[in-house]
Amino acid sequence: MSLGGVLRGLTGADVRFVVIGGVAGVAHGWSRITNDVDVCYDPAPDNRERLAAVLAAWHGYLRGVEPGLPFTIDARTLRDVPVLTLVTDEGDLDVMDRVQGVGEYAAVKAGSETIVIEGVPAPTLSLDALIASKRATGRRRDQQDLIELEALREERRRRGM
Amino acid sequence: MTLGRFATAVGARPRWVLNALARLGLPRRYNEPLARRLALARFISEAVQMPLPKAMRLAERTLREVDPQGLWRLEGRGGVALELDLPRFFTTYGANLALALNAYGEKPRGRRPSRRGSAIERARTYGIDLTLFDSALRRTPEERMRLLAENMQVMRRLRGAAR
Repeated sequence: MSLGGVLRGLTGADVRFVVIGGVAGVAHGWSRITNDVDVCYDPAPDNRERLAAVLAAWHGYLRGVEPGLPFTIDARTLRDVPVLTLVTDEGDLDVMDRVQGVGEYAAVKAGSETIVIEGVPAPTLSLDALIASKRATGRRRDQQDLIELEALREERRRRGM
Repeated sequence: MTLGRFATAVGARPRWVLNALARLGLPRRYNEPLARRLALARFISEAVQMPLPKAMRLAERTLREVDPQGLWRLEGRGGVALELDLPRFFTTYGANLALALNAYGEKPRGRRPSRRGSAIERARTYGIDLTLFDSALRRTPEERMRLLAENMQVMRRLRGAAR
């Protein structure tokens, strides 16, 4: 059970994805404690099939929902439900086929950079794109995140990073 | 549950929920069992163009009497049959419910934080500890991710111990 385990599992199954959310923020220097991994995946049918197979192998189930509710993870579920918040054998994992404020997978991929995470080179959402997504969601809890991330971006620029 | 969370679980817009509850004569008590019934009623109503009150009665009966793991077939008059794939319904409903519980966030109310000054000044005014940036930015991305992975392991162990 590890962050590296999630990324190795997805990469090993040839799933096309981009790391987004808190993990991406930490990669850029955000001091954030997060317990789940968020990824945006390519919704092409072949990729959906591969991702669904990985999630099923990890016994993915709905996070916070009473156990025992019928739940099928397959490509159709990924097609029908654009965002899945799961608990898996590898930890908490959120998968989605787009990022608000950035766009669909192609735009998310274009706004990413490769960062080595636990020995796995993984496409990771850029800080600018992360800020755009936080601004677009407009949730109360994202307000502080946005202030922190904008300050982080300024500090990185000041340091020439 | 707030209206926004409830509507997310039902898989509908808040306006639709308010209209539906008014039409069904139900009080605005937003809870999970009602979300489940309403989500199934909406599913049936849209699938076969059935009026919502009738679909709600059917949904209540289905949830009370039918095995959620199976297909449910209702023979109607004139050879019309309604077949419900309940596992598929519960999969979509459960995903919406998990989203409502984990990712739904209320919209901010009141005045937004000021945009005056530099981002660093705004963060400082907001009360954010900027010394954390320094320690994080002195590490390489790989080091930050290693530290995050370790923290995640600790949190997972604590969570496991608390269960």
